Order: sequence, then C-alpha cells, then structure tokens
Amino acid sequence: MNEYDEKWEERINALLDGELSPDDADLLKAEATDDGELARAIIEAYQLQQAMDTLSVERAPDSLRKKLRAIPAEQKPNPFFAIFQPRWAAAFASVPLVIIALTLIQPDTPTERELAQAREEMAIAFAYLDRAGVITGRQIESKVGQTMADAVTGSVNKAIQSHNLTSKENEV
Amino acid sequence: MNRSKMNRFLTGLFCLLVTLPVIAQEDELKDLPGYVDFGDLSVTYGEPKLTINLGGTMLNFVGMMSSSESPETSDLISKLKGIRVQIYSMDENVDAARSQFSETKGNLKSSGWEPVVQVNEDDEQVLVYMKMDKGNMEGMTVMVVDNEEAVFVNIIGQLNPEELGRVMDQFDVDVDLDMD
Amino acid sequence: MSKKYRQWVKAYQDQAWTVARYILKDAQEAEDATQEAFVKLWNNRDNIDPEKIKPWLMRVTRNGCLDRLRRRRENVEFDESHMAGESSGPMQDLAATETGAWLKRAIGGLKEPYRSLVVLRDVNQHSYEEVAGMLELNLAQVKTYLHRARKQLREQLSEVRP
Repeated sequence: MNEYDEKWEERINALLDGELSPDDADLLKAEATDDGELARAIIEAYQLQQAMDTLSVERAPDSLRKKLRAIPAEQKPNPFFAIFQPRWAAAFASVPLVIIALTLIQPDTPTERELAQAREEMAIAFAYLDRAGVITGRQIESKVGQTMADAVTGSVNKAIQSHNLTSKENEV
Repeated sequence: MNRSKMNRFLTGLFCLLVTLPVIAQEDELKDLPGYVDFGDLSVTYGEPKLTINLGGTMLNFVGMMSSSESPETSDLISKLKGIRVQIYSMDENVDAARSQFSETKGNLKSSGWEPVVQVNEDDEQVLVYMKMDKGNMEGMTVMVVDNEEAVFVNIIGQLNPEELGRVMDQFDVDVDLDMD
Repeated sequence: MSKKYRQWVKAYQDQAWTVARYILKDAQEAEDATQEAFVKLWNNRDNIDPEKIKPWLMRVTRNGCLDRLRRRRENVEFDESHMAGESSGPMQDLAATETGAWLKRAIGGLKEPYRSLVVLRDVNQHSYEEVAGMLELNLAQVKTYLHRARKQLREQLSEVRP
C-alpha cells in the first residue's frame, strides 16, 4: 500500500468511525464525486461495515463454560494426588494413604480440610434448593404476575414453617 | 513389584479407600425415613458430575464449628440428619432423566411424601416434596430437570427455608450455579 | 477471590472464546486454548492490575492461540465442520446471511496481526486503546494495520459480490 492509499484508508476509516469532522467528511465526499476509485472504496467500506455488524461476540459453548468455572477447584493442590507425582515416592505412598483413609472411614474428628469441604458441599446443596425456589417463582411469575408468584412461593415457605412450628410445640 | 504395577496397585487402593467414606455416609442415611432413592442415571449419562453425601456425623461437626460464629447456622444444621445431591449433565438428552423423574415421583407418592410445588414447562421441570410424620418434617426432596442438568437434592431432617436464606450468607462460600 | 474470578469468567469468556475461534478455527482447539488462558488468569490473579484484566486476558488468549498455530504450522487439515464460518449450532444465527458466513472465513484467512485486529476491534468491539494494549502496539500502528486489514477484506468482498 503506497502513501497515497494509506492516507485514503485513514480518512475512509475515520469517516466510518465517525471521527472525521463534518467539514472533512464533506471534503472527502466531494473528492469521491470526482474520483470513481475513491467513491468505490468508500462504498465498499460501508458494505464491509454492514457485513461486520452482522457478526458479534459468539457465546462460549456450555462445555467450555463449565470447564472455566471448575478451574479454581481443579487448580487447588490436592495432597492425595501429590503423592503420585514424584514416581520415586510411589513406593512409600501406601502407608500414609492407608492411615488417611482409615481416618476418613472412622473419623473421631474430621480434619479442617474435610470440614471445609463439607461446608462447601452444604452451600452447594442449599444453593440448588434456593434455585428451585427461584425457578418455581419465575415460572409462576411469567404466568400470573409477581404478586401471585410471591404468594405461591411464600406459601411453600409457610407450609414448611407451619409444620416446623407444630413440631416445636410438640417438643415443648 | 515394578513401578507401573506399583502405580496401578496404589491407584486402585486409593480409589477403593476414598470411595469407602462416601459409601459409608450414604449407607448411614438409607434407613432414615426422609431418605429418597433417586435411582441410577449413570448408565445413560455417565457418572454424576456432582455427588454429595453428608451424614449426621459430619453435619454435627460442621454445626459445632459454626456455633461460635453463628448460632442460627448451628441451629439449622443441628436439625439436619443428612444432605444428598446428585447432578447429571444432560447434553440435551433429557428423556431418561424425565423418565426417572416420573418414576421417583410415583415412588414418593406411594411412600407418603406430599407434593409442595410442581412446575412443568417444555424446557424445565421442578418438583418439591416433603415427608411429614405426625406433624414433624422428616425430609425434603427437590428435583429439577432442564436441558442442561438433572438435579436431585434430598434433605433429611427438618429445614426451614426462611432460615436457610439468612444462613447461606454465613457460609461465606461463593456458589454460582450460572443461572444466566 | 473465587467470586472475583467468576465475575471475570462471566464478563470475558465469550470474548476470549471468539478470539480463539477465529484464530484457530477448530472448535475443540479453541476451547482448549481458552481454558488455558483462564487457567493462567487464575494462577496470576494476584499479580494482575484489576483494571487491566480484559486486555491481559485477550492478549494471553491470542498468544496461546498463536503458539498453537506455530506448533501446528498451519499444515494440519481441519475438520471442515468445526471451522469458524460454518453454520452449525449457536453460530447459525450469527452467520445467518451468506455474507456473514463468507466474512467469517475471510477474517479467519487473514494473516496476523490483521486477523486479531479485526476480531478484537470489529467483532469484539474493543476500543482502539484496548486493542493496542492487547497486541502491544501503539495506537497509530493499530489504526494503520486495521486499515490494511479492512482493505484486504473489502477487496475480497468486491470480488465475490456482483
């Protein structure tokens, strides 16, 4: 591309990007009236821009989305798997492995890691319960409106709560 | 024993020993009245992408750990005897999951579980059931099937959903189920 | 930090995927490259200026893709059904028109850095300044190279259109 073409391209792109002043834009268009090649370049540039407008950021596939979310958990160093990495230590791995596993089977007190994992699992379970409530509310809302959705979702909580209150009374 | 045989032995031993606690926790829960058998979808969908089995022992420890930070959390957990979750990836093949859904629903009804909520849309089904005994809650089951996942949650024991919302903040665990 | 990471994933996963898809064309490779970039993001999360996460991530994604291309040496034949520009799955809406499908192929056929420039600026709609940061070019270079890339595409477009 020679210097002349570069200047042309610069101005055409600036025109498309809306960066040319009104005067400069008029000047460019006036030049295009007398220069067929310039006119064609401007038209093609607009056509290309229109074609570009049909393209957009693509949605990442679900398989990828899941992998990306899993990265923090996967990147956490796992003391169990670390045993297998140095091959020369494999011969000695069975003894601590048995001790750890026996502790898991008959825990007197869980380790801090086990407790942390249990808390996380509990949070996941509760998050899915919450999601079911959200889903249920959303489905009902789309059909009958927010007020009714609240009433129905609320009634689920009330139904459960009233049973719990009854059981508390029974305890007393 | 050469190195590759040693590694295979250790891998096998590891797999056996690590699954034993999970099995042990699930076995402990099976006899409880609030327990629900979700069936086995692994033939169709492969291993679940997530399995959680928390028994009473572990829950007690978590509850004790929470008691100093949040008595409310500790109180909620103390009423639970078990938490089970199974999640399968669907890859848009939902027929087997829906079929299991219906079968589990039938089993729940015949075992005295009461429906609380049911949603039936083309792309999503939600079921919530409760098990009561003389006015006391013994368990809750939530099942959700959509085009991406089949989710089965079984809470054994008593659970107050309003307390749950308040208590979730206490866990300080970021859980994002990507509901967009 | 996990919460912050999840916010970054939500905000940038589609853009990173788009860059990888255009450069590598093969969907599976693009998925692997995108995943690698996010692993690097996770591992370096404490060292990156939070204001610069997006350009950092796009740069790392692009560089990872280019590394793969060099290893591949562009001699491997791709499974045509995985090529960017083919109408399949979610891309059907995006490439609804013939021109759109053609344009994707044309962009994929550009040499670097023109291809990345077009994807980052015209498809992902990053600003010129952001693109300059991502590709470690100055603003003038970005504009000049982009003009050349667009000229190439225009010339190709004029050949296929009556």
